[in-house]
Amino acid sequence: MRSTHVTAAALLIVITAGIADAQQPKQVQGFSVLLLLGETQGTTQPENISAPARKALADIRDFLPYKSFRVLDTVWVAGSEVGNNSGTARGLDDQAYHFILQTNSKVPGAKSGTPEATLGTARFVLQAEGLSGFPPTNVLDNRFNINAGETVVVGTSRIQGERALIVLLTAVAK
Amino acid sequence: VNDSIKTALKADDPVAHDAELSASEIEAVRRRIVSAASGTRSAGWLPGPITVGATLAVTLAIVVFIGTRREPPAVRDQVVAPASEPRQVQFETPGGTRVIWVLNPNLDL
Repeated sequence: MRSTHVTAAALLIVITAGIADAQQPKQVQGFSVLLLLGETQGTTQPENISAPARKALADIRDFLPYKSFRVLDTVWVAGSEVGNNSGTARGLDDQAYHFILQTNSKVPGAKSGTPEATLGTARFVLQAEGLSGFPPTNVLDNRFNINAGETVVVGTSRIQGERALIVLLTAVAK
Repeated sequence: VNDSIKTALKADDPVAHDAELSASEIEAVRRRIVSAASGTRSAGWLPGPITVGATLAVTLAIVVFIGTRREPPAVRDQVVAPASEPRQVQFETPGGTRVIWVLNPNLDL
């Protein structure tokens, strides 16, 4: 009889802890920037990419004309809900792409630990390094909503172009 | 001439001189008509609630299926720009992935 009570109490504690954990607002520990080249020719598929990135890629496959996706570079930046981050990724022919990632909470200035303070928006700027003496070229400059744990696809191409530069930005939650 | 025609029609009207129906006869006739009308409705082909519900369910299933397979994602935000300027399209896939796409005629990869 006593063991039944102990088991029930332990189960209750586990369930309560689980519910509390599920209600805890997700916090961001960093961002994964995956630079891909999409091509209409070929069948190359990216390997060794994270599960969220793989899922995002599978989601967009039906809506983009590209059959081949080649990983050009992967960059990890430590970050949080609010902040400015930057880094450099390498593209085709070792082309350097500098990126700036500005993030903000759902409600600017919200108290830390509240749902309003969780990640809400981002601005992602990608610049192709110019040849010596030339200024960098803005390839992407976009603002969008993003949640902790979410992967957002930011891409660019010509209209009916055979190639596209694709960024899979994942806000990795703690 | 009109008066003579009117008089002739009245004179030959077969029911003009019949006595009016009593209240009970009127009620009996009404009951017969209502009964006949109810019988016709149940005997004829009219879709019942189950048929209508099933049809709606099948239609909805087909629409959802086609929507997930064929329909392009809903465009949430589109910035219209001149043809030489980059255009941005934001949409969300049925799987929930947010996509921001820039169509740049000057892009050189």
